[in-house]
Amino acid sequence: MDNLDPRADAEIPARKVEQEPVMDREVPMASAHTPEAIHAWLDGENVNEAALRAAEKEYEFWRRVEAETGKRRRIKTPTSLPGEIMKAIKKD
Amino acid sequence: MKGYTSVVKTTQAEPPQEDQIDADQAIIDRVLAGDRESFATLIGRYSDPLYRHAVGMTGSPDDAADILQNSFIKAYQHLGEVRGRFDAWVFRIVANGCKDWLKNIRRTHLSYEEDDQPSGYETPEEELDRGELRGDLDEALGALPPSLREAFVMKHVEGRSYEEMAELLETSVGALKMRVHRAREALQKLLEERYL
Repeated sequence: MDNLDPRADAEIPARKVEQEPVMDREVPMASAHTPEAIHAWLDGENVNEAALRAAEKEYEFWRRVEAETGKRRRIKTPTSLPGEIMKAIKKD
Repeated sequence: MKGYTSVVKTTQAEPPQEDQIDADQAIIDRVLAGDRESFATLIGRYSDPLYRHAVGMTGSPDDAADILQNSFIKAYQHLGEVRGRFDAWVFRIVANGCKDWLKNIRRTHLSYEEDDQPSGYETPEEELDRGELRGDLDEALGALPPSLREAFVMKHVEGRSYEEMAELLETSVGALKMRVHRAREALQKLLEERYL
């Protein structure tokens, strides 16, 4: 026999969802559709060549973004900064 | 098709090995025993990835340098409280410094052009390459909510693995993948009219 008690549903544990910070949930961002193959490629996973070929425009776009972020990945601390930090520590 | 490869990342940031963690602890012990100069070794060891994080989050080399300086001073003052990995502990100080900066400054437009300090690109050519995409990417990153920007910067600018990010931010790999994917989709939306 079916359980007709309306409170029964409440006892079913809610599906656990990943909690995002409040700030993100309150500011909905417009988003484009980035094909899964592009996400996988950017994540360093093996990607089927045909799937990438099907997303050629996105691939070219993200290849350019990757070239720029690659330069940023090699940014160094200004040479004077460590000395300035040590000077400030010694003043303390 | 030539040019399509299965793996993009060639410069993945590696988390420190066990012996590096022990070496950091030995330095911390020396500093706490009165050898202040040894702290410079910790600054030298970790300042580059932390600076990259701060530049990525603020978009400003000047402000990134200030955040880094304040963070290392704070780390020095509280060095006795380090439990576990020093690099993860000091990363959290810098990351919180960046979030506080974002809360206070509420900038919508970020640009390296406004700063006196060079950004620290590896070569003069890269420093001077103020191409359109660089400026537009800065602006688009500035429009992202802080947690999406943080995830994108850690993945794409710092070259960290999701596992390393999860350890540093004390959250799950799944949540971070979701944030990085959302950041990419928002960035693509912001830039697609011009570049797609």
